Amino acid sequence: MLFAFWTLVPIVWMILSSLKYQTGMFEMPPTIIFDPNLTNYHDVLVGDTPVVSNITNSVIVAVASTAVATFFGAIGGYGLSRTDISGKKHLAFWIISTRMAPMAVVIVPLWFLFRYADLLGTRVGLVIVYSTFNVPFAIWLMRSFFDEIPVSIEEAAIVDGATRWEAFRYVSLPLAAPGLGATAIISLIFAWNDFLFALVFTGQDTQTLPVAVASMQSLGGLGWGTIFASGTLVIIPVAVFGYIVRDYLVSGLSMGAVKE
Amino acid sequence: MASVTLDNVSKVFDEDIVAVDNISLNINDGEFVVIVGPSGSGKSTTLRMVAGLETPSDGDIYIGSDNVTGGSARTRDIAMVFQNYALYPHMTVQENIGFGLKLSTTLDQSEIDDRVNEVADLLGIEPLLDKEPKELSGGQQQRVALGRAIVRYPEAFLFDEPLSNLDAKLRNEMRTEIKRLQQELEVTSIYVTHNQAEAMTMADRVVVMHEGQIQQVGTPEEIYEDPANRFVAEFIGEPSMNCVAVDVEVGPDSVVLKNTRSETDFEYRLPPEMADHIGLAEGDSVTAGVRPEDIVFVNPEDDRKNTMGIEVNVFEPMGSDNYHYFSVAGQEWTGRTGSSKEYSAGENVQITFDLDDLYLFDEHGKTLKSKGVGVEASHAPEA
Repeated sequence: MLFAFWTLVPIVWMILSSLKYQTGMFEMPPTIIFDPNLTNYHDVLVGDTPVVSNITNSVIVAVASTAVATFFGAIGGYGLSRTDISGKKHLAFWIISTRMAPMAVVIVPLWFLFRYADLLGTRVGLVIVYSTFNVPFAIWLMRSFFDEIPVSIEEAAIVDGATRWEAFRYVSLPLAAPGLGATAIISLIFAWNDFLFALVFTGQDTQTLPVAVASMQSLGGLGWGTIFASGTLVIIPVAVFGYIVRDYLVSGLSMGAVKE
Repeated sequence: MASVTLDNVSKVFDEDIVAVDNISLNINDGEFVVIVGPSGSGKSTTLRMVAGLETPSDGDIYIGSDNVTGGSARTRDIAMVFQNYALYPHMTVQENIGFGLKLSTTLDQSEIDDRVNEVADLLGIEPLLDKEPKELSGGQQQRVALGRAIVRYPEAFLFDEPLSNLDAKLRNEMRTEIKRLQQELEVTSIYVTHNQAEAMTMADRVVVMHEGQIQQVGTPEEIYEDPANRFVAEFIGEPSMNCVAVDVEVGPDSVVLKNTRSETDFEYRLPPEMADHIGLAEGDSVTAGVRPEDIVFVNPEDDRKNTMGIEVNVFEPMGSDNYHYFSVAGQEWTGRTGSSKEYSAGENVQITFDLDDLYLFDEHGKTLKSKGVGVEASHAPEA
């Protein structure tokens, strides 16, 4: 309860404030019952400081990097789970070890790499960065899901006349759907919420929403209403997506999703 | 339908774990063969090699006249029933049974549905066709797994301990069901189990495996009455055969098998001509064996030879039978009688058994004498 209170109060305050005029925002104690208005949303969507293009950037980058991570996570996780190669443990560790360094450490080398590859300020660059961080994690997560699926089910499919690919496609992959859901939402949240990489690697045209929101602060400190409104817009898609896949997420993160 | 042949097949895991050691076996078209053995005997590995789920390290496997040794499981046209049923949890019963037809044939959906319905009818599972596996009981899941195997009219059925997850009553029911289906469909079948009762009741021929090798191949009767060695003799039969190590003493008019190394002596006289057939000589060490149901509890008024005094340690009524546990020459023995005979723990009784029912094994475990009294029961070691 306390935790829920602690986490939700700032969010509720932000959402309520986004519906108020500037004058009512900082009243103490905050008013809960008031006459809401959508001026701030009007401002950020069609007004002086529109963030529509930033939202578009965020959606494209987050969805693309999530798709990449989920796809390679499924393929790589399946391979890691099912093949019996020597040094498999080392390979698995190597894959996850790429996530162990603090993100700030890789920023400088990546910046130089991207400059040479002409990827600075592009959405593709950002998709590559997010995928770099999400794919190892996705592989590990999907691997543990495939480990839970009894091999005999695939063997049954192969004896039934399926190729390895068909056994994966029609039997194992559908059974790992909770894993796909969990992998997708975790990747999406990472990409959608990221500020650091987006700040460093995007240009004016490709700025994502979190960067745009932050940059409003520097415009004279007067844009609290637009900050709150766009902050709310940042939260909504992830909250909605999380709500849709919440069952997957619960069973996904607690494992044991596939029982015979 | 086709015959299945294994020709000097071996399987070695991790370069030094020999799971199957150079076995050869020919299974005739339409035959029901049960491979039985304890855990780790290589029986499941053998089956998986026939299925194509493992590749032999050495040797060849033929289905019909085709050498399928290196080929994929999907091209062998065999069907397999797994121990855990391995149903596809996200598909309905209908889809589970039809899955193989969809992938491996050119039948259209309505033809597939017809075949699935036909098989469901045969197995009595039509009402379940729209359900998912998790809604079914163990027995129903087993039937669906059978349906999935039958529907493809395969060259051969492979069963990997299909009944071991079922309770006793259901197991007996399904045992009869599988046997009935096999006889009706006349499909070559290989059935792997560690349960010797399944082996004895279902098989046309039983293959007993131990430590990766075939110990014996024969009809259930042959395996039971004429075991090739002590392992087979002890493995087949419930409760298992009573055994005791004995020394051979050759006397003027009989040959005595003796063990006097503990409180309850074992002493059994053989006619000299039989000892001769078997090739027993003074001072030989052999193992004597007798099945629990062949132990005779002697009434005091009976005049029987070769009796031994024992004290009953434990008495277990089993309903139709009674089990008596006692010690002979330091070995735990079991005597099985009808429910009318009952000796309680602590009671002193005389036991014996007929010469017919005596088994003898040499020091390597090879059978010297099986059931019977004639020459056919003797397996004299080759000179």
